[in-house]
Amino acid sequence: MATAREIRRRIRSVKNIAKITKAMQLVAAARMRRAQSRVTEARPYADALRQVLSGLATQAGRVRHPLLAERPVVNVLIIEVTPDRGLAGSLISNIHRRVGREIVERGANTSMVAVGRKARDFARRTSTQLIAEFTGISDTPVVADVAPISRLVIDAFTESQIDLVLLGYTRFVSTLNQQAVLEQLLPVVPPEENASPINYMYEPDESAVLAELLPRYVESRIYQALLESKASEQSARMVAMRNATDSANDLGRDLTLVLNKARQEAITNEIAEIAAGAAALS
Amino acid sequence: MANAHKVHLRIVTAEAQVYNSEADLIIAPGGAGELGIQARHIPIVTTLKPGTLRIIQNNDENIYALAGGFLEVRDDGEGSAAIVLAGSAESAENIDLERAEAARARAAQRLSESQTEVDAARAQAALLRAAARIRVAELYRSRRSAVRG
Repeated sequence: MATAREIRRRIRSVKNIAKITKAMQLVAAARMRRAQSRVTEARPYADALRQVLSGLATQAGRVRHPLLAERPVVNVLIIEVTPDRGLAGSLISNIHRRVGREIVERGANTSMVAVGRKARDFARRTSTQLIAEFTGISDTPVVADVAPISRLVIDAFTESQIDLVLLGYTRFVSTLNQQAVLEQLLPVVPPEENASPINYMYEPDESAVLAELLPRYVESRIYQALLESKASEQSARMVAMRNATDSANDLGRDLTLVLNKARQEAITNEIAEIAAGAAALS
Repeated sequence: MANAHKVHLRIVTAEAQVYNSEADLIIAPGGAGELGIQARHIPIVTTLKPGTLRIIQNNDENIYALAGGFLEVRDDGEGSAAIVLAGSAESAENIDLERAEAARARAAQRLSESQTEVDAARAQAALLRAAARIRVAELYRSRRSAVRG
């Protein structure tokens, strides 16, 4: 059995850990609220873009654009969006697993663009060809942060170096639920809306609008993925840190019990010895 | 709520919604020329050039600098609903004229130094955006001084 001093030292360190994880939990909670509101704020733009695009898509056959071109798939590029830092529960391993499965299925002609340090580490670990890495993106990203990413993939796609671009990120469903997803980014599949199509007039004409719209749409998808990923990261970290704080507190309580028992045992022993000594004398 | 003689206008950028209100008339820098939108305009989707967006409401005018984008107008049954999807949209009163001038100078220099066609196109776009901001800011200032004087 550990001595009382050893147990006291462990209790102290467990309580310190609990303080740290509690602080991380509070920080993550504050950031999560901010990240969530950014997801919501960005939604009207993305929704409106999607609507205009689906309206254009109903003009089927009349519109053509390089970013819509379906080719036989040889070279695949996966953009993986992850946090820079860990301590976010199973969030990171979930997205790695989703992307990893795809890489195994697609075979050797798969390359990656890493957004976030964890994605970069993953590419290195699995020796997947890494075309570019974007790390250290602020917790409150702006569209300018993703502009280089979208430019890179659009160029690679239009120059036919890549035939298919997939976008892997963690979708924020709720504070307790984040979902690793992998979606097709390029070629663009125009979304279908259920609403009855409106007969728009297009200025200057359909293809000019489409040519302006598609790059913006790709950019907006990546931006949205980044925002969702940030919100997921903070929620997952908050929950993970709350669990860690709870476990540390439980452990502290258990250890205190063990300590008290050990102390009482020591006292009992001492009394017994004294009593035995006294009995021997009389 | 919706008024048949008004256009309900929303300006959204990728980051946030920056304007959401009714207007009598919107004048926008369309890709095929400037266009004015009033209630009961036919449904239209147009590209927008970097430039000035003017919103006229009850004889009052709001001016925004746009960095390109799209305008969608539809009939929502009671009036017209317009959405401006902008790369960025800044209200005239928020524009820092000095910063805009500096940005224009930077873009002009990049344009003269650019090696490739793509670089040149990007610098050109930046130049147009900066010029639009400056125009808006100057327009706003001249209006304001006119009111005071």
